[in-house]
Amino acid sequence: MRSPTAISLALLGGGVIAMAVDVRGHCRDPATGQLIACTTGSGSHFYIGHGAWTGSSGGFHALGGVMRGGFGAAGHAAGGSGS
Amino acid sequence: MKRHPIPPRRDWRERARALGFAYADIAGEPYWDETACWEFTAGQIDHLDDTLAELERLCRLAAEHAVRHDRHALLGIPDTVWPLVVRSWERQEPSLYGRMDLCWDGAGTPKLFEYNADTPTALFESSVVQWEWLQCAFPGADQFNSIHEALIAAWPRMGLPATVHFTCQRDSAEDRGNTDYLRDTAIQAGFNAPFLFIDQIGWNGRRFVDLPGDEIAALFKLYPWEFLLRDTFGTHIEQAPTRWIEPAWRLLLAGKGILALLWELFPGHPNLLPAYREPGKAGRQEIAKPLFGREGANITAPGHATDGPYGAEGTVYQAWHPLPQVDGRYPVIGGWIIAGRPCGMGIREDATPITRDTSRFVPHFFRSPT
Repeated sequence: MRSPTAISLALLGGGVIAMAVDVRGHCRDPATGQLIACTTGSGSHFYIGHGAWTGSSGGFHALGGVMRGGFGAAGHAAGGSGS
Repeated sequence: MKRHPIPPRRDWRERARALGFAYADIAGEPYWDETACWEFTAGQIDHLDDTLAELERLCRLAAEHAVRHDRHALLGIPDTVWPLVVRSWERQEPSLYGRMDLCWDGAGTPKLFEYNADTPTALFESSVVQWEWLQCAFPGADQFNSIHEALIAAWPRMGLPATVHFTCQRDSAEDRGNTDYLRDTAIQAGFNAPFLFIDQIGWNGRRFVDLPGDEIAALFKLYPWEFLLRDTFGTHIEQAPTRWIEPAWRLLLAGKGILALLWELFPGHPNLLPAYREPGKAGRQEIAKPLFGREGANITAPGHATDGPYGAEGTVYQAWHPLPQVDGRYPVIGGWIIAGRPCGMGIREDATPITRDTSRFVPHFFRSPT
């Protein structure tokens, strides 16, 4: 009953940079709409049922040293979080 | 426990909207359903209250046993995550809320189907919407429902900082509605309660931060632990000083593995059903549930099966104990535990014996003895 859409990602740094990251880990420049490379994005590859539950060590770097977008992928893949 | 078909209030949609109930319909189908209601006796409510208290007691004992004897394999919790769970339990980090799903027909003994101990929903409609319905439909009657007062009373007792952040996933009105309701109770309890979506949480190398870059010292997340720990930032949780609500030890109870542990520790308990990690042991027909499934997905029961993304993590086989069928509907009782104590219930009905996220919420009342 939940419709997955692209994950929005706001990155704050030495100015405000807003990006959107789609579920495959691509970054999109909101100004141009162009797909661009995430700084160190490892992409989303989470599947319900993995035994190890080990999160990827990658992430999405931002100016100012704050990474965002590192939570949400597993829930996105599952389609919902409530129970 | 009787089901009464009744005419719905003509203005129920306007009333729902005025309450901020944004998911009275889900995917174009009614979710809130006041074309019927359930009536209980005061004695039945007392019985449910006692049952929930007893089951909460058993669950806490089982959690203690699991930690002391490293039973994480039975519960389906990986080795890498276990120290976080153990530490959370040993600190006795407070729990805010949970919902036990029970099978009962008003006679006999209620049976525990499962414990939604990490990310239960149906809270707002249990607490606020059905109470408002009661005032209109049966103003002289009562309801098993002190959820709102219990939540406001619980927040200050949890030892939290003055600011508690709240988060959930995007794109679910139900998740957002439940999260905003809990924010409201926290604000009424005197907390600052900013909201951000789960994907907006930042990591600055030492701490989780919000959009302005301020530390997230305490976080209510309507986002399950098994998802948090699979996500990229899951590797930072161990080192972060954030207080989590629900705390990590709730993983002990939120998975279906607890059903097998409860039966192992308390075999024959009248409120439990036989449950095992292996099939064919329950001594009768079984329902197979994924260890970390949700919303009735990937269930296999006699004559019924549902699909979904779960199941690879393992399965629990529970003795098949079908829900009662009344007027062609199958009601499951969701008993609310706030801060360790029973304080209300909500009933969801489905047209099949499997309760799913499309099952409808039907209000209830009882009459106090005069």
